[in-house]
Amino acid sequence: MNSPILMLPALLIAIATAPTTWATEREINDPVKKGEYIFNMGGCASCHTATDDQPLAGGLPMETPFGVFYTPNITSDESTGIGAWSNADFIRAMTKGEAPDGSHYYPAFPYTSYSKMSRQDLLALKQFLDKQTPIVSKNKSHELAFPFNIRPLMTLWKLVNFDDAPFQANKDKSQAWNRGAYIVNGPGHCGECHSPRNLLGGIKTDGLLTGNPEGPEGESVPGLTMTKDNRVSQWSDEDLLFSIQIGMTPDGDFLGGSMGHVIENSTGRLSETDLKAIIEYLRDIES
Amino acid sequence: MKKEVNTDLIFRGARLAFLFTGALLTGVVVAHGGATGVVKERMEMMKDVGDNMKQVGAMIKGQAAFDSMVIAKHAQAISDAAPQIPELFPSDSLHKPTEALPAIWEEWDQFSALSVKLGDEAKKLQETAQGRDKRAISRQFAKLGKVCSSCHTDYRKKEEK
Repeated sequence: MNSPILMLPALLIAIATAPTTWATEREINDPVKKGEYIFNMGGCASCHTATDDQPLAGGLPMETPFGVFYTPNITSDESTGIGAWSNADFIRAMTKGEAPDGSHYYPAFPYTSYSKMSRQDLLALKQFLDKQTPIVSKNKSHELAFPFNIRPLMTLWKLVNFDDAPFQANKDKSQAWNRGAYIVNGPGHCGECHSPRNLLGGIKTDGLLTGNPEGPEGESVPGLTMTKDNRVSQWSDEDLLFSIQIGMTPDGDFLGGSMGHVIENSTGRLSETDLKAIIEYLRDIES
Repeated sequence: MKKEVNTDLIFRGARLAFLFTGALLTGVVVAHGGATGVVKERMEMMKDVGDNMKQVGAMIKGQAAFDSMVIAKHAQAISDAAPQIPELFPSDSLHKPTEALPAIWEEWDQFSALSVKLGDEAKKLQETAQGRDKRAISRQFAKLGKVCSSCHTDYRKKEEK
């Protein structure tokens, strides 16, 4: 099903409250600005900024069934951040889930999604991060229960739960659909919260984007697939756009919780073209 | 034999009545969310604010005729409601079915500052609406919505029904 998204009054373009809204991200030539857009697609600040006075210095606790993870410093500080990383180090971390020293990252860092990102986008993102103010702040060690505290076991976890294949465009679908699929499954990493997880914390691939009753911070996360029982399937394209652009649902309520951070740091800052692409994809997710 | 059929019918009737009463009771619970006292009061107040936002939102989305004077009225209703918010959240009023989070009382200053901001942004929307400039109204509406969002992000845990 290909539902053409109705043109909203042009004024909607103006209402995005984000400091910068781009006509389309592909028209941005300056790599640092493009990187900033990619940064917003990922909503990186939601997890890597624990306090506003220390942007991107990490330290946010993430409580999970396996223990508490603390997000790391991704500022350009060379000793405690990632300022000393090469492009290759950065791409390896994002797409293979491996630190420069070869150790494995835990999937609380969603490289499971970022592995779908294009090399070009990753490099632009790195250029943006390199320009951010360095902050000296040592990473806090995770507090994990046995056996999850044995990092090398992640090799086994990855074998079962990690598909590092890059994004594959579907030629039978429109360009916008593919753009939406890329954003949702790659940089936007929507499936990380909107999909159920198995006992080992891996995403259940057969339930991708069908929701997670036991989501992060005890929240029940709704599905994004447009099945009849899902209230969002009844929403118009304008309603869906409004909900991810400013957070308002058709009944006048405003989304909060984790999604509030997503709207603030990510979807509320994306171009309307990209938001419409996301909606076109969600209307017609391949199952 | 006849008697047996009757008993059966009575039994069925009773079961139906029981189910019916159950359905009625469920209906009542859903309608009021089972809320009582101050929790009920504030849920209704929030619902009112939401209804006002909904009407304005529909106009901005092009789903309803755009009328800036009506928008001004809705904005005023929100700015009138905003100052009541702090008193509707007495300390630790967390009984079910509240969706309020304890963080409200841990960060009372930020929480009550948001209610002031809600009133300010609603007031500004009311003023902007007098100018009838659709773009400016939409922009101010988004700013107002941002206050709703930021409060719901930090201080509410939505219970999915």
